[in-house]
Order: sequence, then C-alpha cells, then structure tokens
Amino acid sequence: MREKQKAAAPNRSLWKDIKKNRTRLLMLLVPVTMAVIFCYIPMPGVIIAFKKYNYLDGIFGSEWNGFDNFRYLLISKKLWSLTRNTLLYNIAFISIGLVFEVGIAIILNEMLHLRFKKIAQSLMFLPHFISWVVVATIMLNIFGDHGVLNNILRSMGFEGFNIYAYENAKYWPIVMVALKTWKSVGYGSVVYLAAIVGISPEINEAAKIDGANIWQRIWRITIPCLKPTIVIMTLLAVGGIFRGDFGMFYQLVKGQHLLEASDVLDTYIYRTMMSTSNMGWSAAAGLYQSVLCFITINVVNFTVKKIEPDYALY
Amino acid sequence: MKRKLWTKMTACGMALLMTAGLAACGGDSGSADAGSGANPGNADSGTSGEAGGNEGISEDSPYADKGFDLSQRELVVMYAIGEKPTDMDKVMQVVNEQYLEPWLNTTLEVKFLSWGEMGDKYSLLLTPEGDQVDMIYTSSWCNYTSEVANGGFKELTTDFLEKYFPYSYPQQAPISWEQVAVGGKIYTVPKNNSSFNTYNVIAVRMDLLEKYGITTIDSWDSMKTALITLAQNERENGIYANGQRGSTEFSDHLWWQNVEAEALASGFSFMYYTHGKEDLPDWDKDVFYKYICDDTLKLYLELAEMAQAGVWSPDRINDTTDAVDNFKSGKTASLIWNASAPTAGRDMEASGIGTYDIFDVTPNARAMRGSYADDTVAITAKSKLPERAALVLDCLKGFPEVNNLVVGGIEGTHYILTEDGFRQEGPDAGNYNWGVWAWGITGKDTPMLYNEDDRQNKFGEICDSKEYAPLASAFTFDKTNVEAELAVIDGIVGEYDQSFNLGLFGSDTEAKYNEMVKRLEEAGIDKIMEECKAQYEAFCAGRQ
Repeated sequence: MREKQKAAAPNRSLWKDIKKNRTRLLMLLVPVTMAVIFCYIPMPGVIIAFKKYNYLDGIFGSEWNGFDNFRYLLISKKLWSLTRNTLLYNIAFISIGLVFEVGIAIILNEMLHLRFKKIAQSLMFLPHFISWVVVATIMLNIFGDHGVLNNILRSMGFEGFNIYAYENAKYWPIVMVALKTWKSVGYGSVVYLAAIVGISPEINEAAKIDGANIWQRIWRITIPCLKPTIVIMTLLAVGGIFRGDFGMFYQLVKGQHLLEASDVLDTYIYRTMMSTSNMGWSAAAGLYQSVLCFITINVVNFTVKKIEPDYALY
Repeated sequence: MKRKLWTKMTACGMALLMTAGLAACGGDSGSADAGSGANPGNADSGTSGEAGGNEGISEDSPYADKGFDLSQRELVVMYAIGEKPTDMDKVMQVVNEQYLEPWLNTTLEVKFLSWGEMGDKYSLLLTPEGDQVDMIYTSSWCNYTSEVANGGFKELTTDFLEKYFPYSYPQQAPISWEQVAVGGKIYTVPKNNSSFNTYNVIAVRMDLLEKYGITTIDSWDSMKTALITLAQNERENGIYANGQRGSTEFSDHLWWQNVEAEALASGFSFMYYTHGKEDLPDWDKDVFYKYICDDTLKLYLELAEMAQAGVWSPDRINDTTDAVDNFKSGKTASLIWNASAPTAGRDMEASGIGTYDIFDVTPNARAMRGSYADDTVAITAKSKLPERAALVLDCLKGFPEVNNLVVGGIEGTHYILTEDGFRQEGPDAGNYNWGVWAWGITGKDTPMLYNEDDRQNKFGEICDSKEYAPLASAFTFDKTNVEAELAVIDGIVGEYDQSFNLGLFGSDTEAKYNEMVKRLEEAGIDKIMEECKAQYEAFCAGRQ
C-alpha cells in the first residue's frame, strides 16, 4: 500500500525520500557499484561463446561461429550425466545442509551453558576457514592406506579400509556430502541463529506459561518463525545449483577412478580445457551453466510466489 | 543523535574505502597501459631497415652495417616459465651491459611466470590490453598450437627469419623448423640443441639390490623382478620400490622403448612402431593411437601386477610429494627418468643414504633426440617491437659466448669451461644452474657436462651409442579441424590414465580398458585418426 502511495506522490516527495534515507542509500551504493562492476559490465563478454576468439580482433571484432563452441559439450555425450551429478550433489548439499544448519541453530539457542555454547559454536565455525587443499590432506592422512584409521584397524588385527581404493568409489557421494556439511554447517547456522534471536521472546514466554514443552515450542514457534529465512536462503542457494564446488571436487578427488562418482560440470570443463586455451569454449560452458541456473531460480521463485507471495525473492 | 552521527560516519567511511579500493584496482591496469603505451611513439623508429646507419650502437657491434635502424634505445620484455634464479639480475646485467646495449641499443628484461600461474595467466599475457610482452616461452606442451589458433604469436616468414636472425638462422637445424610448423607456417623459434629427453633409464639403489643378490637390470622383466623383490622386502622398512607412477612428468617412455614405438607428432598421442628403423612408417600397419593398442593393455596389466605387489604406494594418486625428492631422500628405491636420473642418484648418494647405479632397461631399443618443438620462444602478435625482439633473440642464440652466459650464467662463477670444451659446475652453480630457465634458447654448441664419475656419463654414452633420427619426427599435426573431438578425447583419457598408470583397477583393468576404448570410439577417435592420416599422407607426399 505504501509503495503505491509513494509512486502516486509528486516528485518532491521522492526527493524528500532520498534526502531522508541518504545515509542508507549511501550504504547501498557500495554493493550496487560492486554488482555493476563485477556482474553487469562484463556481461557483454558472453558473446565470446558464439565467436571464434582471437587476440587481435578482440571480443567484439572476432568472427562469429554460431554454436560451434558448444559442440565439445555435446559430442562428449556426458552433458546429461554431468548436469545430473551437479544437480543431485547440490540438492543433497542444500537439503542436508539446511537440516543441519537449522537444527544446530535451534540447539545452540536452547543451550543454557554459555561457555559450552561459545566453544561449540567456535568449533563448528572453524572448518569454514580450512581450505579444501588442507581438508584433502587431512582426509588422506586419516582415511588413506597409511592413514590413522588404517593403522589403528591393522594394529587391532582388522583388515585395512582405504577410502581411495577403486572398489570403495561408491562411498564417495556420502563422503562428499558429509565433508561439505561438516565444512559449511557452522557458518550457515549463524544466519538462522540470528533469525531465532530475532523472534520476540514474548511468544515463547506466553507458550511456556500455557504449558508448551520444549519440542512444542520448537515445532510450533521457532520453525514457523524461521520459515521466511529458510526460504530466502534456499532460493539464494538454488541460484548456483548448476555450479559444482570446483575446489572441493578437484582437491578431494584427484584419484580419477573416483570420477565416476564425482564428476561434475566444473571438473569436466577443467579437464577438457587443460589441453587447450579456447576462450570461446570456456564462455560456452559458463553460459550453459548460467542459463540453467537462471531458469531454475525463476521456476523456484515462481513456485514460491504462487504458494506464499511474501517469501518470494522478487 | 550520537548514534545517527556514528551511522553516517561509518557509511561515509565505507563508501570512501570502497572507492579507494576500486580506484586501486583500476590503477593497476592504468599503469600497465601506461607501460605499454610508452612504446608506440618509438615503434616506427624500431627497425625500419631504411637507414643504414650505425647510430646508437658500438663500432664493433656485429649488427653494424646490416641496415638496421637501432638509433632508439628500446626495452624488450621476455617471459619465461619457472622461478627466478637467485643470480638472475647479476647475469642479466652482464648480458645487457656487455652485449645487448652496445650491440643492439636494447635492454632485455626477463620476467617469470611461475609454474603455478602458467595455466591461468599465460593467455592473459597475450591479450593486447595487457602488459608489454615481446617474447614468450612456448612449446608443444605449453599452449603452442592453441595460442597459434588464438592468434597470439607473430607468424615468422622465411624472409623475416633470414633478415632478423642473421647469425642464428644459418646455424639452426633445418628439421627444427619443420617440427614447429603449424599448417606449414612458423610461429616460434625453436631451441637449437635437442637432447635425449624422451629416452629413459632407471636409477636404482644398489645397496638394497645387492642385499637380494641382484646385480644388473637389462630388460623390462628383470626390472619388474627387481622392483617386486624390493617391494616385498623393503616396504616394511618404509621404502617403496618406486614412487613416481601417476605423476604427469613420468609417462611410459620405458614401455614404448621396450616395444620400439615413438610418438608421431610432438604434443599429441599418435604413435608408431619404428621396428628400430628410421624409415617413414606405413600408416595402416604401424600407426596407432596411444590408448588404443594391444601393447597399451599389456602395459596396464603389467602395472596392475606391480601395483598388486606393492611396488608403489596405493595412495600415490592423492599424494602430492615430489617423486624426485622422494628418491633423493631415500623414501623410494628407484627413479625412472632421462639425463636427470643420474643427478638425482648422485644427490641421494651424497646425503649418505645409499649407493646408486644407472641401468638401460631396453638395451636393444634405439634412442631418438627429443623434438625441437619441446622448447621454443615465440614473438607475440601484440609486440610493438617484433624486429627488435627478433634481433635480441638472434644475439642470444647466435653467439656461443652470449648463449652460454644466458643459459649457464657467468663463467668462473656459475660454470667452468674445461680445456676440451666440457663444462663443470662453478662455485655458485646453485644460484644459476645450467639451463635453469633458458631451455628455449639453448644454442647448437652448448657444452656438455663433464664428470669424473662414470655413472654420471653413462646416460649420454648409452644414448649416443644408439642414436637414430626417424624421418617421421619432422611430422607435425594441425588440430584445427578436430579440436573439439580432441579435447573430448583428452578429457576421457584424463579420467582413466592415472588410475591405469597406478594399476588401481586391479583385476578390472581389462574391463576398464575396454570401457575406455569404447568411449573413445564413441567420442570420434576415428575422425581424429582420419584427419591425422590425411595430414600424414600429405607430409609423406611432400617428402618424395
């Protein structure tokens, strides 16, 4: 309603609005400038995907070559399996991450021992700062043939278990999801924790007086209040659903026999590009991912809008 | 009120900070532009060839009276791959002050692109918008053909080569030009000294071998037996028999030596059986794709057998330690490599870990010198001073004294020349190793390393005694027509080859091999072979 009033009002009031909110607008200027410089200005470069790029003619002067740059994606016959892998992994990351992030935020919020709460939160936050290179090394030293796990197993008389062995490739999807969750859950839970803290304590107190137990309060108050945050965070994550986490897949799965279980678009493109420096191809691959992401986020946002218009992003 | 003021101040501060940050980003490219922008004014005066004067250069310059206009002092920038050696500045000062400035009125600046940056930054260096780059290292394994396709390098016509390489062009081995030709055109200047870089021998810990009564290795099978014996007995002492499988720098040279096959075009995976002869191979009988061949499967089965016996660590695929360092530090008992194998053995022995010896695993095979296309220097298409850059390169390659200086450092400090023309390491050799960065520039008369230890000379003796130069080594492949197929094929091979190399598929090796072959066929390997055949036949027709 207020929006409509504003639009109908004369220009003077717009100027007034700007003047009134000048500090906020100034703050907004920063991210807007960033988005323009890093997202909008490079956008025309996408035409390289349809050109036979050469240095001297540059981006705009090079010859057009239609869909030739997309050919290598098609003849590999892997496009479907790669897209599916990327999508499924990301769905698993997003959904399992969501459950853990919300769950941990709730648990942290209900914790009464302040010191333990702080230590627990810090420990969960820590993996976020460890690079995938280091994670890969830690993995190798724990689960590799000479890792801690194997040494313990062998010293106890059991048979060793090497996660990197060819016959154990089937476990890698689980390993990937577990590691990704381990690494991102602490960071992700902060947003939800902030949202929980923002829930008016009066509601909880009223529920307590009415005799609601802890589960009922979580189920009936905390989670419904978190719904808008959950929807928005999920929508944002869906925006990148066709992009694999290259650092993770590449560092963890150097062993190629594990690729069957873990090849995603980004790793495949990297492998193919290693033998050539064709910029048109890289642009084509990037465009393919972007278009898929664009469609997905629109579909999801549209669906959300249909069900609960308040929660949609736009 | 106070709070509001605080909010305002924070906002203003942040906005300022951002603006400053963005300005800094922009400033970087701005100054780069200014750097390259300094040249255009002088470009015309580079070397027009019209003025025959010797203005700007010394009287005894070998480039005097050749019709070059060298009156303007110019800066030529060359990029090399690798890390900057400690004494680089010292050596470059001598190169510039004694030779390039008096002879050519030119200062050469060498910049380094580290190994880690190579993949990402190489192409950016060739874009016209970037910093000044007049010359850059390139090779069959370092973007040569793909950057030619992107128009990154200047085409070098015979006229240009003859005119601007007056000293080095006549010295250059004629076959080297054929080896760098793409579609019949030349875009880079190859080195003029090709070594036996693809012939491999084995350096092995003799103190360990002797424990088990093994005194020599002279065939693939005896090598396998020795490695398996070491694996069975030394693994519990923490020593692996070999530690290099799966590393990209160690491919399967030994095996292909063993079955007498060579690569058909440098940088690609076409191969052919030589049968120990230099003749051009018969396409239908002898040429094959490296990953589709009975011998390939045999190799993979051999490797699976060795992996089963624990010759190398099963974690090798995810292990990023350096294979050469592992041998030097005694973690592994053997190293299969080219002329560098004896050096690694010497270093290992010097640390008091054990003794070593060098063995020729394939005594019946013949040894071919590597392709000249393996190390070259190209003039960039964007260079404002291509003629001047060419003259600098000519000077570095055409005169042994300059070449030795660039390749090996200052005589007496970094290397010592013996009376009979060999070289020995100088007192400061560690600060500027021989050939530390200038592999693409090595001239014809590069002195050989002299060593009192026979084992160090063994590699050279082995190769020299059975050198041959197959005619097919002049063949090059132009991938333009099958670029997409080739990239897909490389991608598929990339999914399997390390695992095969490490024998990780075990008893599934044959099934996995068949799966790979099937996928290669589906992805159009036949089309690539057809294209290669057509080009090869044209090459053969041109020879007759």
